[in-house]
Amino acid sequence: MKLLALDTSTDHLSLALTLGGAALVFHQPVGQQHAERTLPEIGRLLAEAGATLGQLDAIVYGQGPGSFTGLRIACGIAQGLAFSAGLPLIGVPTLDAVAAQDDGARQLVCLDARMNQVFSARYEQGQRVGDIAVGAPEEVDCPGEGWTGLGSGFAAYPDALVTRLGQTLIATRPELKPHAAVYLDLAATGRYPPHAAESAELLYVRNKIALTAREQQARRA
Amino acid sequence: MLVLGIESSCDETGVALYDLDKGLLAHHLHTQMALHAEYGGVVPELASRDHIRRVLPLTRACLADAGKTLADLSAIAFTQGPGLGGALMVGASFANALAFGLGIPVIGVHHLEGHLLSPLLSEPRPDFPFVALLVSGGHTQLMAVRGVGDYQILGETLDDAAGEAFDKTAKLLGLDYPGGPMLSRLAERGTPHRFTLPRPMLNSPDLDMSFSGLKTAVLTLVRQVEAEHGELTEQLRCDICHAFQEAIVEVLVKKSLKALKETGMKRLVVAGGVGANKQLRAGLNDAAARRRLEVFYPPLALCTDNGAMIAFAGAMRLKHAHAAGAFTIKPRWDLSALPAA
Ligand SMILES: Nc1ncnc2c1ncn2[C@@H]1O[C@H](COP(=O)(O)OP(=O)(O)OP(=O)(O)O)[C@@H](O)[C@H]1O
Repeated sequence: MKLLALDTSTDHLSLALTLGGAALVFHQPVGQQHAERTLPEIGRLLAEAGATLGQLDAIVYGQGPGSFTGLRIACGIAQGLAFSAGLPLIGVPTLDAVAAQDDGARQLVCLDARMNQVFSARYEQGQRVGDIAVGAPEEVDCPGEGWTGLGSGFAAYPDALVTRLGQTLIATRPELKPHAAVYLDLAATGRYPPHAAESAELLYVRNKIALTAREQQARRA
Repeated sequence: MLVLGIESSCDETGVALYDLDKGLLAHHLHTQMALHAEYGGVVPELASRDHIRRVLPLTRACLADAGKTLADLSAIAFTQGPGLGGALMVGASFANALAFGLGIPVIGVHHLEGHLLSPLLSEPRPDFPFVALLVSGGHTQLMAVRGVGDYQILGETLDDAAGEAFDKTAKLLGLDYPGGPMLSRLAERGTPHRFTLPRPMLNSPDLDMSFSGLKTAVLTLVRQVEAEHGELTEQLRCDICHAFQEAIVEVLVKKSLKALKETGMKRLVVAGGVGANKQLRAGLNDAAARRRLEVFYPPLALCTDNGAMIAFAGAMRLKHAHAAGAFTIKPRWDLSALPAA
């Protein structure tokens, strides 16, 4: 498959392009400069590969969860590019792209969700077990043993995750984050169905954003 | 030259197509009013979440309406600021990527310039120079406009915007968010001169205004009326709305006339959501007729935020279009910092 993948859900800008063979990759910390850097770097990858958007089969975007604004930058850019060239999109959850970087039997992925919470999910034999959850790191549940802990949550909340889970974990890799080259691999498996650009749906997971007027009133009373 | 315009600075997603020769070809709008109503105000994160779901379908709808394809576009204009950062970022990301993919240039438009130039979308079209009264939920300003990009602020509100005063007062009177339009409907049924509210800064020597005291005055009045009548009946509520609207309209009319007099200009252009207010239009038209002045308004549908004004402002600034690639947004952006077109 010929694919372009992008993720701007962390402090990294992660891009990868394949025309079937080895991928061209841009994966670097850019701070808050995603809007400034993404399109120019995509332009450079396309030029390096001697490719145009129109030759691609689809564009792959990090579906979330992650930085809300970051998710929308990648999704908005993916939609704009896909629409311009008549391409479909493929959304891949960020946690799936972290889990796929480890080849142990069981992974517990926890990404820092700020506000003293993590986005978490468990994977066994390369498949996610259950839904992606958001909650306090103290409440992340991980039955049995033989788990490898992956993602920024383990760096942000070492006590609540590493210490508390103790023997349940055989190792931790807190430095792992979503990587565009992994999105390419996952998209190529066919497990993530392509869809029309306007049907992109982001996975925010944290869906209670504000108190309704009624709740605000109840709280004041 | 065909320009696609994309607006996403607050709680409305607007997309439009403007042709330099043929005028406005299509415009579509999705308002999030209902989404935010239960929160009593705009929730920025929810606004952004909605923008990203709407912007592409609205773009498709505009192209279909106008019978155009992406290949017909010459440039894409997007609201670069001011506004909610996350919301602006959605329109900017989509617009810049679409332009990048199509190999056409982009123009970052100032939201208020969009409002300011929107009366040029109606017939008859006002000529420069003119005084602009910009009255929206976030702004209340009087400006001398001598050309595209030549804006001099003559005066502005020192606190609440006029639309904000409408909305806050409406809330205080128990009307649903955003209560401005509802308040003005109730005002029509009010008894004139039943109550009188203060006109803050009406006679100040400058062109500045102040509206925050007015809502406090309404609050005091409501308490008085409740003490006197036991409850705020529907008619009393309408009477208070009438008094409130009368006060605000009188200030806006008087300051606008003063601005015209001081600049020696003969044309007044009204833009922004409050420009839809019937009483304000009647007051301005009446005053203008007696003084041989002309007043211009945007088409009613284009008073509030919309994509048409962004496409149009972009078309007026095609000279400033640049290749799509790196982009930024400007949540705070001073209108007087704009270069002339
Ligand atoms: N008929 C009316 N009478 C009074 N106020 C009105 C009327 N119709 C709309 N408004 C007010 O206009 C405002 C919305 O206008 P608009 O969409 O132009 O502004 P905004 O997006 O809130 O602010 P800005 O454009 O300055 O960022 C609201 O405050 C609303 O109550």
